[in-house]
Amino acid sequence: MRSRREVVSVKKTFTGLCITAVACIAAVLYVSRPPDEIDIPWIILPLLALLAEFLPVELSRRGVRVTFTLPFVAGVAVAKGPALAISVDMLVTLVAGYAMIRRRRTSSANMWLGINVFVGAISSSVGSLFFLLAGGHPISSFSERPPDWMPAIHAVAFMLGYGIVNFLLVTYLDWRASGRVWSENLASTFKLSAKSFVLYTVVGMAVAVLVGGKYYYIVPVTMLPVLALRTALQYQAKMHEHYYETITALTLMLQRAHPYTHGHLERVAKTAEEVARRLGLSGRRSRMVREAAVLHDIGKIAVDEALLDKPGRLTDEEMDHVRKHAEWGAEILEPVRGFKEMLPWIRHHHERPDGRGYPSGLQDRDIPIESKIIAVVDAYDAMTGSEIPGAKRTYRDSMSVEQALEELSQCAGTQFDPAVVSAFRNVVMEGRY
Amino acid sequence: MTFSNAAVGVLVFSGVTTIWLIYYVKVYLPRQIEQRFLESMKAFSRAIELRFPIYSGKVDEVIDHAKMLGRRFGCTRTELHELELAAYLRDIGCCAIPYQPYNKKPSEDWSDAELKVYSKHPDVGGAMLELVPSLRHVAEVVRWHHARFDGKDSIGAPIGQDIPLNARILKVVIDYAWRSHEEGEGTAARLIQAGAGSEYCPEVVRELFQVLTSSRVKEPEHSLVGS
Repeated sequence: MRSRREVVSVKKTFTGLCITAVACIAAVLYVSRPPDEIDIPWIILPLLALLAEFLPVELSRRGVRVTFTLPFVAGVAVAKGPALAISVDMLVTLVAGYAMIRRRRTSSANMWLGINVFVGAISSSVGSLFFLLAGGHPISSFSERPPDWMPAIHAVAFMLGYGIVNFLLVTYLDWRASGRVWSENLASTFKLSAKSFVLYTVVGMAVAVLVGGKYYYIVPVTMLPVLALRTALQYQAKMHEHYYETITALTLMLQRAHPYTHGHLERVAKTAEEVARRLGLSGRRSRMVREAAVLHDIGKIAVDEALLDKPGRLTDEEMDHVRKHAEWGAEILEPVRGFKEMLPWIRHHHERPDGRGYPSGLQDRDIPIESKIIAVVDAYDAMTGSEIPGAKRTYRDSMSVEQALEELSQCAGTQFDPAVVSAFRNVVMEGRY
Repeated sequence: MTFSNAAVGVLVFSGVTTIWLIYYVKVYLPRQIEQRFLESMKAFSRAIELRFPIYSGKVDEVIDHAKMLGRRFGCTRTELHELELAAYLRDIGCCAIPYQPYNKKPSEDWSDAELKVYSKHPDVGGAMLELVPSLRHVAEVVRWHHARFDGKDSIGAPIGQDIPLNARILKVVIDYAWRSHEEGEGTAARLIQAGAGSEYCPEVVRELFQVLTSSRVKEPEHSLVGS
């Protein structure tokens, strides 16, 4: 359920964007010339924009949706000027958005639709100002016909202005909604949208040249690259999803083989990511630590569960069998390209700074920090046990939080890395575990 | 009205970009996706091979035979890909089978109760795959890859041609690979042929022996995604 604070914040954002949008539109209307003729064929542009708006791609990243209206809105600016471009952009967002939320209409969905419309209005207004600065006017209002490539330049100016502002606004809103670090969000959104934007620009230039020459009937052909781009993004989202589904399926296998892992992996993963952030690892790397922490014990699929549950002391042979899980884990994950970076982290999650760990007996400086993080969080979770009845590891009684932290501190420097233990202690003390 | 060189340049450039983009989404990306899927499948089958080393080493043979049979039945590229995925994933349910006694004694010494537990693995595998959206489409094939053609011994299983073709193919090639490993190729061929119509789909058995007796079996099979 959405908290009250969030609703207030959405309302504030809505109002702020509304005021900014009105100011931007007023500025554009003040400086731009109205179109002197409204002919029929230009209507193809808003129709294509509407069609593109109805074909969004849901990127599997916190529900971010991408639509492909920009080249056609830029075409409207070239054909009939900025005022109509802004109106078309707002209208298609409103119509398509309204049609899509019809089934689950709530006050917050309506609010977000409004926010989207205003984001569109602000972006297209700034795009229009760029367009006017580049010397653009509705094509029919030029006293002397400009060269036929000129509209392409004007369209690029429009899209550039639109793109920059839209990018910043979407990143800002995403940041407000998710609370993630600004710079990280900026980088990840930029990565997502930069390539698509270059392709947009090419399509937009073609649309502008065709509109400039009044070849409106050829403009629908430009839907072809737009549709191809849409498919490419869908494929990318699918690959992204498949990566996470592979992790899920492997975890399911492990949980089937060793039911005690239920809950343990999720807890370890969440905390390992938090500790990684505390230790100053980048956002991307911290997320990978989370994924590696989910998979760190995957090699236990190949371990006899009777040994893991055995109450007494294991024989040397049995110990060797259990210890192989670290190497087996890396061996299982090796074929998957996406896991390549985390293979050493998984292989070495039982190494110790004093060199007495396994499988390679690495020295402190050779053990990846990611392995050290997983080792600490894993050991703590194993010591404190789980609240789920029947999921408790049977070979020892669980400790209290204080006892477990004390044990970690005592082993810092020999079994665990002192810096990781200290960062982990802070995470636990702040109640984030 | 004709366009100037610059305008023609813009249009040609967008045309070329479009063609490249279409190639990218029609050829390059689908191959990438297939590759990613196969990578994951290899990880799953490696996990099962590590848990039950007695099964190891037969995956490639099973996949080669299965794909050859699939082609003979006129399977499309997508169906062949699905067959390959199912061949990799078929024993994913084995992770729910206890490590002991299956690793400690040969299959002929398993008790009835142990056999019963073992025979549940296709069902467990099918249920696991149902939970993974991008692999849901192979769940049925995995669920029925040990189903007898005449439906004997299993309640609720499809019978005869109602069993998915890919499952019927897998049943034959897996048993052939397993039996030829255990008892030699001659005995395996005799047992499979004797089971045609009862345990195995007769059409699949016929095609398998045509494949095995033709010279094509000696040719190296190319992977769907190239090397």
